[in-house]
Amino acid sequence: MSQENKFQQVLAVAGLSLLVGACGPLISFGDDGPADTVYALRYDGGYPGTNSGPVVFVDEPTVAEGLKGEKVAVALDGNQLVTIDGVRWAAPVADLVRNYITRALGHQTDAQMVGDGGLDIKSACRLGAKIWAMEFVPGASARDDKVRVSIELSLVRMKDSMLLSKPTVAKTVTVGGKGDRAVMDAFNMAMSDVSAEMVSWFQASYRSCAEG
Amino acid sequence: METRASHILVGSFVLAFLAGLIAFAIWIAKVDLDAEYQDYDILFDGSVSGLYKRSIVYYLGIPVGDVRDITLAPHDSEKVRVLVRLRSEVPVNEGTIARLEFQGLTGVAYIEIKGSPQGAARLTALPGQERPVIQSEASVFQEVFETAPNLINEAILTVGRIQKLLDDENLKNMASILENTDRATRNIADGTEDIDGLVADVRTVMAQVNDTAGKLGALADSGNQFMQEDADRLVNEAVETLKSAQRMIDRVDALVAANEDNVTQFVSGSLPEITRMIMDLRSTARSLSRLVSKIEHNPAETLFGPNEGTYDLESRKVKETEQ
Repeated sequence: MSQENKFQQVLAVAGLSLLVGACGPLISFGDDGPADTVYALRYDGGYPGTNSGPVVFVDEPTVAEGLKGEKVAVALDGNQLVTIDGVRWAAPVADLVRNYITRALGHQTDAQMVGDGGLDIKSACRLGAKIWAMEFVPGASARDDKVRVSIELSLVRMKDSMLLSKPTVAKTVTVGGKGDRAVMDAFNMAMSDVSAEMVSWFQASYRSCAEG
Repeated sequence: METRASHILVGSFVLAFLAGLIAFAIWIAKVDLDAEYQDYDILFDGSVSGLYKRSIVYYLGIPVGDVRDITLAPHDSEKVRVLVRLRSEVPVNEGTIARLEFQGLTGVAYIEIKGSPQGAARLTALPGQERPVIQSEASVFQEVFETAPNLINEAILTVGRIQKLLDDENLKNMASILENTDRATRNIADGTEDIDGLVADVRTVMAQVNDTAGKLGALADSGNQFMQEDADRLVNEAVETLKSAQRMIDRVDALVAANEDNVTQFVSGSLPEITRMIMDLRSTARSLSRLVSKIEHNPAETLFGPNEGTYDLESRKVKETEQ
């Protein structure tokens, strides 16, 4: 490699650096502001045991408008949707709810619940979910703040693609305090109430997965 | 000279005259001193017009008593209670029926008592009744008199409708219908000649049909010849084709049998998975399409998110994010 070629390479790198540097005013990479507080939606119970019931695949939930992502939705008056400042979920809402349902139903029933990563397992039923609401609803004062969780479920038998049942479970819980911790605790309480009702419905339905 | 009458003779004559007078009175009053009587009540529904005190009571056409009193029933103002006195030998039993009848068209009523089957219990007064009560029923005349007004009204209505039916216009139409019927009958009578012609034509057609049947028989004979000669070749070819198809089906069957588990797993397990995968691919394609549109429209927003408001829990207000 000659000296002339090396000079050309150095010149090209320098020119590229200058070009990227010139784009600085156009592109902002953000500042070093305060980090978001991250919260989990965690099932407050045990883990699934050695269940022997039918295998049920928990499909990835679909979510309503404004609930996608990790931000915590806030429902204001006039159908206005914003997110809570400085607070986010540990994962997208769909993943959190899917894991919660899989664990809760697997722990409290005899069904073998498979979620993410269970696509290659032959299943008797598919459990679908549509998250209609998972939002913080501020009231006139802090005492009136609430959180609202509404999930539509659908149990489909794989053998004949028959829809066995399709209920919607909705719960509203009053926030017991101020600040983001109280709000996120309320979300966990609401999800616990939803899962309790979900379990009683699932207990009466999942046996039909093996029929047909 | 003083008349010397026999007092014994006069007294005897007077006594005999009085005895004859009493006997005549008894005979004329039809008093039966030996007879015993029994009183009964009869309750009639509705009017007993034409019935009076002393009206005769008959049993199977024999006068056996008379009416003693006519009043309204004590507890039912729509019924009439008739007190009758009958000879005690009249067999008034529990099945005995009394009926109000009329003598001709004079309107004079009497009571006819209809006998009951032999062996029935003697009619006695029930608790709360003054006398035994004989059951009553409406006579034919009563029913006629009650229904006659309705019959007359309906007859008047019917006559009115018949008059409407037979008005001048309908009579004219009826005359037209009769005239048409007469004409049609005459045409049918005239048409019998045509029918004779038609029968002759049918005979001709039948002869032609017989001729055609003969030709069809000849055609069938030649078909038989075809089936015996050329059809053998066609049948052999068809048999060969079927054998080839059978061999192919056998091969497919053997292939499926050898891979039955795999085929079953594919049909029951993989096909639904493929369906879900196609659905996921469609969803992914839509998401990619939206992402590309966003990048084209506003690349900075795609990379760092939209400039949307956030809710501050401390101030309880919405604040806009600055980028």
